Amino acid sequence: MLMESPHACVAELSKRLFNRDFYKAIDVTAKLEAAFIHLSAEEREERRRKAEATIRVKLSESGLLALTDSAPCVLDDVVKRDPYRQVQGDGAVLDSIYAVDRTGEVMDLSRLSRVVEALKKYEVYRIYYRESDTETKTKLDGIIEEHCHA
Amino acid sequence: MPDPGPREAAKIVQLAGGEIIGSTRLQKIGCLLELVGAGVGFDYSYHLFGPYSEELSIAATDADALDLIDIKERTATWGGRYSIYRSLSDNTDSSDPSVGALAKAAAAANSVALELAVTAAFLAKNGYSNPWEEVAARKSAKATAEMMSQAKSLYCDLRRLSVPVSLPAI
Repeated sequence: MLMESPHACVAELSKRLFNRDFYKAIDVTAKLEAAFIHLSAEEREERRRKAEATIRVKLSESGLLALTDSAPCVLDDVVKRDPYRQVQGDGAVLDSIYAVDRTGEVMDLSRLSRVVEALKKYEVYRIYYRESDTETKTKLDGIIEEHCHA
Repeated sequence: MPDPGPREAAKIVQLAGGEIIGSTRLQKIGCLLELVGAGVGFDYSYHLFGPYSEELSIAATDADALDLIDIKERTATWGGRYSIYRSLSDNTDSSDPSVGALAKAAAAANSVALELAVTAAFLAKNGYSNPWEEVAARKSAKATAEMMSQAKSLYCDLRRLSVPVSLPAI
């Protein structure tokens, strides 16, 4: 039914879903990490953050993310996975685990375990494009590759 | 027109006087500016702590990476973590001074009171006829009588400021 929608965007995305003709993903984070592999972990992280931020700005300015009535040319997203979320000052306590220490005090698990405290947030920046759209893919490669060598 | 990004996130911090303590405050100030017609274009939807923009969250992180702002993570004495957002730009903002006054007042306000007040305004703008009641129902742990009173008082103060679009009368 959705495939016959009068809205071009809904119709095309539904057809793609039905036919499993998905957009192709570019894992920008993985590309940047591979490009900066020779750097120390700290410097690599810093360079990756700067590069991803700049790519997002350039992608936005390129107009490739512009929304029209048709299915989008390009999509992007940031996936964040927090293996353990420490108590936040803003009151985000639902994800936290409390434990009683040897003195009987109740505290966040990250204050009792260095392993838990050291857990890092996993974050991936991805850009999606239509496989058939080679022109867009070339533009995206241009935007990304520029920062893989910076 | 490009989507708002790191420059716009940095502008929110700058409007608020150059420093915002806490990500909830950042989100609520950003939303407040949108509600009064002086926003920078981020979209907000209802989240755990009321109106929230994932775009703003990413843009603020990007602004830190691009040295437009500085984000420092701090641990409170009771163990909680929070972020401090500081502007790194020396540019004097050319926006309407009353908008700056609104952002600064919000930045200086109690975080929970601000969260309740902006959530009520956001709900009112989205068709809720009794937004304070809705806030109290959704945030029962935070919406104590004292905090609701503080939030309403803060809201009255914010409404008194002259801004492009008045906050809803709730």
